[in-house]
Amino acid sequence: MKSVLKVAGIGALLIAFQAILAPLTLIPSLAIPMPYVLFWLTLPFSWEGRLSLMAAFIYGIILDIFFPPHGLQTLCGLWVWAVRRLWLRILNPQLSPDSEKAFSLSSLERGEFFAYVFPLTAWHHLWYLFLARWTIDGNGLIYFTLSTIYTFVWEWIIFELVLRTTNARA
Amino acid sequence: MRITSWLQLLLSAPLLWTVLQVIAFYTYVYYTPVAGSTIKRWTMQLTSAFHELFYQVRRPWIALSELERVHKLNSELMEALYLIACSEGPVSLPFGALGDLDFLSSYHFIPAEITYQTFHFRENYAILNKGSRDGVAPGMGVISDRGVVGVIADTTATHSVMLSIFHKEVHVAAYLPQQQVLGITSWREPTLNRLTLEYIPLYVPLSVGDEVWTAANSLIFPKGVKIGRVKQARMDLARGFYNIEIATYLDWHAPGPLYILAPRMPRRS
Repeated sequence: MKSVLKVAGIGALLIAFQAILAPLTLIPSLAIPMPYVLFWLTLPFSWEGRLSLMAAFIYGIILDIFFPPHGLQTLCGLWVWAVRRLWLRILNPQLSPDSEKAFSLSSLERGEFFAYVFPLTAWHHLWYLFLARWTIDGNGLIYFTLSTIYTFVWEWIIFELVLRTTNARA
Repeated sequence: MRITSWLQLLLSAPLLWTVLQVIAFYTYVYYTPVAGSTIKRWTMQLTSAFHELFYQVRRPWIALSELERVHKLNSELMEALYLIACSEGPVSLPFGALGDLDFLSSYHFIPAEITYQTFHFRENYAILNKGSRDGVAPGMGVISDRGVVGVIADTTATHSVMLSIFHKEVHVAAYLPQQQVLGITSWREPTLNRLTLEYIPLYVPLSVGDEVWTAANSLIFPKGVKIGRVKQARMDLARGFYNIEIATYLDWHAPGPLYILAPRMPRRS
């Protein structure tokens, strides 16, 4: 129950960020921050697969209701949800099933956080920006690169301010 | 027990993930016109390329059948010439698809061939090997040497999609030249090479075999292109109209060479 509340709280915080701060912090035509990707990465591996999947889907739907293009947040978020376990196993080939279940984003070191979150954010943005623009060109690649970096910066800030702090309290 | 195992399979995470992705993708395409039109365009290009490939493979056989048709036509023409030479009175010559020749000056004909066509649907269509690069545009009429065939619905640079007159949503403004009465054709029932002519009032004298041409008020076809002949007429007393069955000149299973009617631009003085 506690983990459910924690995940719901992070989700609400990220949606609030996207609604209030993202329009203020975006750099027009260069980069847009989308740190809401963090939600799909904070879903615990200890949760049953279908429950975790439904949580990922519902979060995407909520985002889609508020932010256009409708449907795209869910689509890209489910890709992140699907790939994150594989990426974790690539990063930690020796990880046992029990350790995998106990994995928590908030317990990562800064370097580990970068190695885990940055590629998955890039994976999300690759899908998102390609589908949102429907073209691959130089401007699109620059926008993708800068947005990924900029989003990661905000993810890092949220990680340092919120996730690590909550973990320390726990 | 069996139902439970099926339910478990349906609710397994990979399958559920796929279903949710399909829902999300459908929502995205539904609400994003650019995505929808791009996917439609890609699908059409892929279909055209696929059918073009098959068309290239089938070309020798098409050429052989065309040669056979030309031989047959040639023999018929030779026979007609022989009859003209032998006849003493006036001889009626076939004018093919054209019942009224007045419109020839305002259109030019773009010859086209079918690379793919459907036969079994309520919405029959064909892909033609001419596109916008050849001057084809949506809304143009298509005829064969026998009569009306269909309407161009969409084009790419090299191909175009033609909706057949045997398509449930294609209606052609028609008239009976002998009686000078207007009506509309429709393909209400999936019958082979048959159309229905509607809105002909009951007071009009009709007889089997009367010709049906395109009407002057058609936005797509000029007046006087042949459609078919009256095959059967039933009185619908409740509506006060005939239900007329037309036997089309067009045989959808062998449409032959086609011509797209492209309007000529008026010359500037």
